[in-house]
Amino acid sequence: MVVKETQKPLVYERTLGMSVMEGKGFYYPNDAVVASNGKIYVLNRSLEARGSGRGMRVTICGPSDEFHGNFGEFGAESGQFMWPSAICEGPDQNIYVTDEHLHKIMMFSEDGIFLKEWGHLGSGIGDLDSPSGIAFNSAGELFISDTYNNRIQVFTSAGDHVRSFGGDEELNLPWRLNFDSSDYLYVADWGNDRICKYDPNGKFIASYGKTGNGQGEFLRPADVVVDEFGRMFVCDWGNERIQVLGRDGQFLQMNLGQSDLSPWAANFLDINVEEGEARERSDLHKKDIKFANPKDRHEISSHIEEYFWSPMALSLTADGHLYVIESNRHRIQIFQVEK
Amino acid sequence: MEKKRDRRLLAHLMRRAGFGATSSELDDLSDISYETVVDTLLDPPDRSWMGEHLIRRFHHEQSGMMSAFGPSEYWLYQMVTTKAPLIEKMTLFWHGIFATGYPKVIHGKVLSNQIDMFRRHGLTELDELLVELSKDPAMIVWLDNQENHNGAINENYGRELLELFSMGVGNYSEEDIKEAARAFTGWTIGNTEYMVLRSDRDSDMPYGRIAWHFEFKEEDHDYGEKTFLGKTGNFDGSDIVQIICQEDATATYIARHMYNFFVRDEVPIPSWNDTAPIDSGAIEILKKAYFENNHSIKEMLRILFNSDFFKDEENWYKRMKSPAELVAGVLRLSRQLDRPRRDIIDHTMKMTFMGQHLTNPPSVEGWHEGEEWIETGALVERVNFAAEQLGNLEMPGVVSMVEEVLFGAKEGKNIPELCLKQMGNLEVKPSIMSILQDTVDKSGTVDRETVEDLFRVIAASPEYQRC
Repeated sequence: MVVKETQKPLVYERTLGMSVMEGKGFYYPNDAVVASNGKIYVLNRSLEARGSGRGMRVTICGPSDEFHGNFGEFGAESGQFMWPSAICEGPDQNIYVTDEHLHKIMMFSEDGIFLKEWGHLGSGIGDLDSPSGIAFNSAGELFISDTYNNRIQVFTSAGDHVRSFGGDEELNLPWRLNFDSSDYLYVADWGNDRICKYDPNGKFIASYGKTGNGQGEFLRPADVVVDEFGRMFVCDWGNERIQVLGRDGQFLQMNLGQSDLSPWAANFLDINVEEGEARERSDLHKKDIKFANPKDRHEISSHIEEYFWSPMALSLTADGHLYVIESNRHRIQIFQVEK
Repeated sequence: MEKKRDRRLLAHLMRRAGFGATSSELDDLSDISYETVVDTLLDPPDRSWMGEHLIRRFHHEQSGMMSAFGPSEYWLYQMVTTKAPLIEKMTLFWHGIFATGYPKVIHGKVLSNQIDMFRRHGLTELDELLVELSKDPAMIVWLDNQENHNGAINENYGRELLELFSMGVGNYSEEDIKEAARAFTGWTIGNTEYMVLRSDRDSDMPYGRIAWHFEFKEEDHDYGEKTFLGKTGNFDGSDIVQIICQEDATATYIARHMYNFFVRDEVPIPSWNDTAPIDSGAIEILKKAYFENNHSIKEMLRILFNSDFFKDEENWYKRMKSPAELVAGVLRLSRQLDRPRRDIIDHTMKMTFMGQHLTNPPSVEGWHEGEEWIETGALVERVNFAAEQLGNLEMPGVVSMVEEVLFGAKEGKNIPELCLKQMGNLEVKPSIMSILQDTVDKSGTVDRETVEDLFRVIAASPEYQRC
């Protein structure tokens, strides 16, 4: 029997996390991966180390709000972060992190033990200039968005350069990237306001979207993931929303965010009674605020807490959930993806 | 000869109405009339800068603005990369007068929004700007207007509106302050209780800062009759602003601020009541411009930049650059910030060490400017910063400047003069010129390192520290 996919697949389920610099929570999270061990690894950029570097870390938590600990810290030494940018799991179950200031890729065990790193600044073959998006194909090759070199570079998991593609004519500051189940690569072509699709050999075959704030249009997209039906879930970062496109790029759905209180957030407000009660008496859903520029989605999202504010990355899980990582709200909104 | 004079005058204009100009920028400007350059500064056709998206893409704190530094770093990027420098300069001007700070507001985003409001309204009529200021959420909390209730007034905003923001002390009565406060009752922010509580506790939990919005609470507004500055009526805040803007004292106060910021360092503001303006004729010209142009700030500036007193060489290099002006000017020359870089964090911190943490003034009175900028250890910081940047051959702007000097040297031109030209057509006194010439003579050859040394010496000169 052929299963026909729904045209409105996203259904809000719940929110994970809250804003804290240490321990149970996130601080400017900018990517996350739901690993094969069932744990969620959340990469926190924090305050870029103004002062101590507090808060820059990987938070390990579980899908039912379990907190398993942290690893990683600010610094320029091996295994340390300065501008941690993206995170993924390798076929070896290790955790890989890019750093777009140190221009390197780091490898950690699933328990957060630093294993190795490679990469240096440059524009030659194998060099990196602000590596950001990171993903493995089914053959175990590691694909990196080499942002300021406007290309995709492919490495072995040991860090040996395999090949590169893209270039100035094709990509403009590419951010995150992901594969579909047939090893086709999808790249958030940030500066060109579109999604680029490549075949398994790195040949450009299509692009989706154009600059704008209408349906199927993007403003500086940050990430894209693709499900079994070929539906593209796009993190439309500059428009502060998620869009869903069909396999041929047709618009299906958009969502501006629907967050409510996560269990961690509710717990905080239960303990801090005065704040919790004042919040109860507030209207944080007010939509009729008079803005200097009513089309400025960034400004609107800064006022209305349930909306996405700087949605920066997506993670699509095997059990059919979409995780939306929101940097400025320090949380992850989780959606069920209906078939 | 006329063109040479124009280039010198244009360099002066760009130091005051902007953050200085590069030699190639001056070359371009020299092809158009001075008056047209002024008009373009006032109505810039191109306001582009590095751009919000590129900044937010890499600097996440400059997007969420939880801390005290996000807004100042974001602003520094704008000052360094804007093609509309006078807009940023006026934003700086108003921030110095309407100084609002992080320690009480505890919310970087709303402070940044206030700066953006200055950017939008800083060149309009004063009436419009003051109404926007009175509705600005950061200002409301900074001066407690959310505590200003019908029947239980809080005078803080009413007092500072008159004393620091428009008329200056001694031009109104205590009764006027109370009546002004009554008129601003009910001017508050949405969700007052929760937002102020979060600020009091510096709480960004559970989901980061929530930006504030202005809210007029009709039920908390005093609709009764008020008598303010001799006029009587059922005034609200906008009416109060209108009355203030018609006052001679307001025109004098704004004119004097403008003169102090763009023409020549005056005595500190608290002494203005006891000390006559340096140039009372100039103040009268600016006041006339104010009243004849419906209180337009833009038209006051047009008159100012085209005036004889502005062009008078006696007034050149008579203003001490603020740390923001110095740092932005240096970075515009060095061109280090050609893309988002973590260095912005250090540069903003250096600006703080020099005595100016933007969006974090020492008090509601703002910063004490002029010579006071260099009265602590700040001078060392200033000189070191400028010398480190402009004597660094890794900076793309410095590389270009050095190449230009070396090219000119091959044609037998005077090396120190070539260097000064590259530093924005700077003119230094003879003693500095001698040091520069000695440096060249001792070197025996003109190479990159020598030029680098010359740039360092110029960066440390009194003329470069001033504008």
